[in-house]
Amino acid sequence: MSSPAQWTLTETRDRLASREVSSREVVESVLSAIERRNRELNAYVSVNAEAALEEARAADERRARGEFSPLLGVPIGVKDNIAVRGEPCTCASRILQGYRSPYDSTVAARLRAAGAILLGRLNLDEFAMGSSTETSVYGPVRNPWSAEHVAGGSSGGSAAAVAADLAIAALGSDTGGSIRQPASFCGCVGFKPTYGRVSRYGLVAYASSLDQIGPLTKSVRDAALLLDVIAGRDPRDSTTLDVPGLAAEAALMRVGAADLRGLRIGVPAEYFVAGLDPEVERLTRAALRRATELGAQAVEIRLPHTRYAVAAYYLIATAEASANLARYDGVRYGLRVAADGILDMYGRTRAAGFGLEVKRRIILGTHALSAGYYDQYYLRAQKVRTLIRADFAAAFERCDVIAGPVAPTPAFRLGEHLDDPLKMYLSDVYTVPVNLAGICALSVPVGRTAAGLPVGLQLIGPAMGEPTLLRAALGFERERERPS
Amino acid sequence: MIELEWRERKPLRTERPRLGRSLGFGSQRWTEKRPGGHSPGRAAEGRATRLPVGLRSAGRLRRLRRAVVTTPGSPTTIETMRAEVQRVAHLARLHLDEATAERIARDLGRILEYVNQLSELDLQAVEPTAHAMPVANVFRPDEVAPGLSRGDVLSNAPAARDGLFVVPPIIE
Repeated sequence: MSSPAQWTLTETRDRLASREVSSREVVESVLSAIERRNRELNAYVSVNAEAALEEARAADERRARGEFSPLLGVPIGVKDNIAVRGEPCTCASRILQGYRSPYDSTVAARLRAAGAILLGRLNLDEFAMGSSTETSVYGPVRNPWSAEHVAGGSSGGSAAAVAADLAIAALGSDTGGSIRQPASFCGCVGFKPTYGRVSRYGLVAYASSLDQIGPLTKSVRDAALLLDVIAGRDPRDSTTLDVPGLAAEAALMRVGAADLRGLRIGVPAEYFVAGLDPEVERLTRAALRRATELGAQAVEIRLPHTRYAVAAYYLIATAEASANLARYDGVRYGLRVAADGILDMYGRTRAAGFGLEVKRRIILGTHALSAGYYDQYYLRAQKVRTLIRADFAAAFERCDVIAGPVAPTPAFRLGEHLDDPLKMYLSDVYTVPVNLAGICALSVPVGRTAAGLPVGLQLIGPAMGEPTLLRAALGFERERERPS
Repeated sequence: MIELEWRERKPLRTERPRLGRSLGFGSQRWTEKRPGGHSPGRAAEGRATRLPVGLRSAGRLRRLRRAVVTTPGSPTTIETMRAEVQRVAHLARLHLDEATAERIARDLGRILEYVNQLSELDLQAVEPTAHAMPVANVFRPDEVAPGLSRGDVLSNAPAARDGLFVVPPIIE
């Protein structure tokens, strides 16, 4: 029999509910998997084993008393930029070493209320700024399928942990592809919800108008279940939307076996252009053919402003980041480098606390917002954002979901893009338009390259299109593959 | 010191995106001497002193201006990027050592060249989007609710005393 760490989230929940297994056994199984492989993968940056075992014991008692909560006793990993009271929240940055969250993020509170055990903190690019988890102060996450390749980023720790069975499921955050791209590189499901679907309260802000928390899971149903728990209006985040609850998992139950009859899948010509890896293209097209065999109809669509998305994204994201990261000044929390005057203290603290990529983005963002450049860069980028939204709005008149690659390549080699920031940014070309438009999208594994690296398919839905997206993803889902 | 800061920043806000400024020439302050150390004037001085000798002749300057005019307002030469990086680093309260500033100046030049492709688009009639999901006027009842305790708020402070954050002197 497989060990509990290998189970999906829904499977674990069901086996706990039927008392086939105890929460203690599940937590022990996950902890021992972490013990075995984390040194090599570097997915977790901290694990609170004692507290997790204590919570598991309490969960088993609660279940014995007949209590029911949807995730009672299920361990979940959390990206290290999402606050969990009493736990570290370092954003993989030197500037937040030693920081402990004095409060729960809304997603953490919701997971706890559902009975989940938040057992560890997952590695990321520093402040979620990166596409490979190589900018982490803890060092890079390794791809579970190949130690020489990156896990993707910025939620590389979450994706690697889920793919390698070091977590039952995990939370990540997606500002420009940071859930979907690592999910594609590691071979798990990664879901970026509609902007405003999930509260950002307690998510360390990178680019506030783009950031969104979402699940990384072993199956589409798992993503639906986790989404059901974390989604919803939150008075503490005024950008959350007041919309009816999702009940996404229940909706999937009703669908049963994969059935894509009547689904119109938009295929954007702009997503199959020069620079797309031939193997990624082959696997993407093969998945689309399979979908049409299941009854879906492929529709050619155009997203003409795709080629401007990366430029607009990196101006908007860095502008917002330069403002959001102003708070790390050595006064209220985090690192302080002593100096005689306060301005010198700010400057030295930030110099010592931030890594190169974060500094680069602060400089770019401050430049884009500074007097004389605002109209040329930031305002122009915001206008392009309007055009990208309009592209999607027009496309969704003709289709229900859009399908294409997640990234132009499979996982690249460690260090391959590290010295070339522009090349790294360009690898986000297919994911950033979704964040600019605020719509929802996911990555679902569709196969592996000849070298054995996983490739995900990106499915994009309109705002609030989560139920359709999940139903479509079910049609593309294959039997789960595990790295050895 | 605070007041000095304010005086330094004000003219920056009123400057227009003139070509001269992006090259480090247009500012009236560039020859101004400021006290040493990390003074607010340092970025401006840096632009003056780092100007390569060859560029100081009027002919070279005109040629350079013409070259830059082709990508409106974009400072792309490494010299101008270096000065711009130091100016911006100061605004961001971020000390940069020479090596890091050099590295970022090089990258920034390339990144700005890339993002300048947005100039191809005619955006005259396009409204900007600040937020993908416009939600306006979100109110809540003005009721007292429990927040973090003072102990929790101060728990991560690098220095705290008597329930307050401690910082280096601000006024001398």
